[in-house]
Amino acid sequence: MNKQRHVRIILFAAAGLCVGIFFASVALGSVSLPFFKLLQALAEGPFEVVSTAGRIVWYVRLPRTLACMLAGAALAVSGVIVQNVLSNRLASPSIIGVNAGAGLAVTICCALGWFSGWLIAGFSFLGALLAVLLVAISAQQIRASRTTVILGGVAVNSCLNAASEAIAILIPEAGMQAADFRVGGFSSVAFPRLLPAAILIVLGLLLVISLTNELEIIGLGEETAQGLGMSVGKMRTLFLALAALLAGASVSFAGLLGFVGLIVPHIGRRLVCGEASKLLPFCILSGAAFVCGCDLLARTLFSPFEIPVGILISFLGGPFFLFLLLRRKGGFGS
Amino acid sequence: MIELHQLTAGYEHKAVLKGIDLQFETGKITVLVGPNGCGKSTLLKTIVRLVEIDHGQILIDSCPISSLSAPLLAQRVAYCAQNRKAPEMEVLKMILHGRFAYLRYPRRYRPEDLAIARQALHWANLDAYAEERVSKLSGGMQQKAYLAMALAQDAETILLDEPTSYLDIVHQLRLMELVRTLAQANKAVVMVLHDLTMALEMADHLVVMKEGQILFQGNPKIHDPSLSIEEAFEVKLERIAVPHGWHYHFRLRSEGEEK
Repeated sequence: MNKQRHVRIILFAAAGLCVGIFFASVALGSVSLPFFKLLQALAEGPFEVVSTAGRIVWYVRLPRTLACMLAGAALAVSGVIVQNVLSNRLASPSIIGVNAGAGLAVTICCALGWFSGWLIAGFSFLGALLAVLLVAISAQQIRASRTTVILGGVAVNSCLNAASEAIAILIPEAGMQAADFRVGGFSSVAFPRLLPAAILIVLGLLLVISLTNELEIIGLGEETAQGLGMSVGKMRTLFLALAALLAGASVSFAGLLGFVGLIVPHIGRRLVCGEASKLLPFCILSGAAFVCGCDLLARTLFSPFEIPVGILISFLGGPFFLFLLLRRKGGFGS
Repeated sequence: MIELHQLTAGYEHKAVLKGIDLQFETGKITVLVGPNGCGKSTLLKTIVRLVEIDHGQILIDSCPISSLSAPLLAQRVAYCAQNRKAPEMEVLKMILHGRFAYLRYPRRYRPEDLAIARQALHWANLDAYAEERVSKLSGGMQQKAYLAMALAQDAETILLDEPTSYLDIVHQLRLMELVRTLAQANKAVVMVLHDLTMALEMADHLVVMKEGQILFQGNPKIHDPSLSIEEAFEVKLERIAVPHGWHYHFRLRSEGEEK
């Protein structure tokens, strides 16, 4: 019973943190809004905004905060899926080329002058899907070791990033926001671009939550999962498609945010155990809080200057992850 | 009852199993032995459709396995793979996943599933470890947890691929005790074992394999498998009568010694 309580406390703490950071993110920035003023601005609603505070909240801060939270949750869950399906704790959407595939698709969209939210989100998903299937199917065909999967993913990642760079250089329209896109950032997020991706992310998260037991079982390995009555091939494809959907949708508005899909699931495994039924809620809440918190710092630390959130995520996430690794003798998985 | 008729199967057109005829009966322990690469694990994997059949067929109660869906097959046959992971999952939760084949989407475990999982946990003497993570358990305990998961599957046949590998002798013996209780509960237990002494002691039906074919099958307490074992492993085997059965002594063949 103690352990169940421990997990519950951590999940409540993550939820509390998430709510706290949400309000802080909406209230704080170049113009800080006191709590009462913030509530007044929120009460105006999205369609009858009259005050300056209302415009700041509804047109700038709220879309940005929601974008951060959705991207954080989606990337963290995508990381859990990729790690479970490939049985590899080193895998994450940014390492095995899923984000890069989505990035290339977004760059192609920009080069072709397609800026519709739905088109960008859809193409981003397709790019991510192609990348993840390329890595997963080739790994399965040659029965690749865990290290080979990662190395293959890194190679795919590198090729796709190179293709994006080449397009951005050759077609200047595609590279206009390249710097912000490459490291990840939310400075240009608005509701019209966010909405399609947000719908895809919410649907994807709901579907993953409904497949919690399947995600746990596939993590036991192909042979055990098959022995338990799962059609492993179909389920693996479904999960990889969901991972691509979540990562692709978030890349479509947040750019190539790395690291979230790797560190959040690892922290979750340390704190609440590796069971998907506990890990998924933790990753959704803490992924959202982590990215939103980093974005808040990114735009307030050096105000009036703003640094892309991807840089801050790496700055904060890297040392924290190293701390977790080094605290455990032999590292993770030992 | 599972029947294998003229079964030929393998990987990418390379036949590992060549025309196997075999039956697994309920209430009996069948032990598969043979040198590395002779097809023991492939045989178990073919039954759970991890390896495709090239020729012949596998029948479960006269029904071809190809006609069963994955969950229906899992309700009939439980399989403990050789490559077992040590997940960061609570022991009871892992055992509960043995009930997966009985559920439909969105698969949520019912109170009766939990009750069956708890019974399996108790059967494996793991009550005290219900909330422990499997990854924190010793190899022997992990093996018991996998066996309990197979039991929770409530299948008539249980396939165990090298269940005693990496276990010390105490854990091996405890595990074999559990396996014996499974057979007493009228399950058909099929095991791949590398320890020939243990295989000869445990088997109600011993199957000696070499290069994808069966050299011997039968009850080793009634029929002497020594010659087939010698041929399969290329060793010398002495079978010595002792008060409660047989003692087996293995040694390498010396040069020039007759087969």
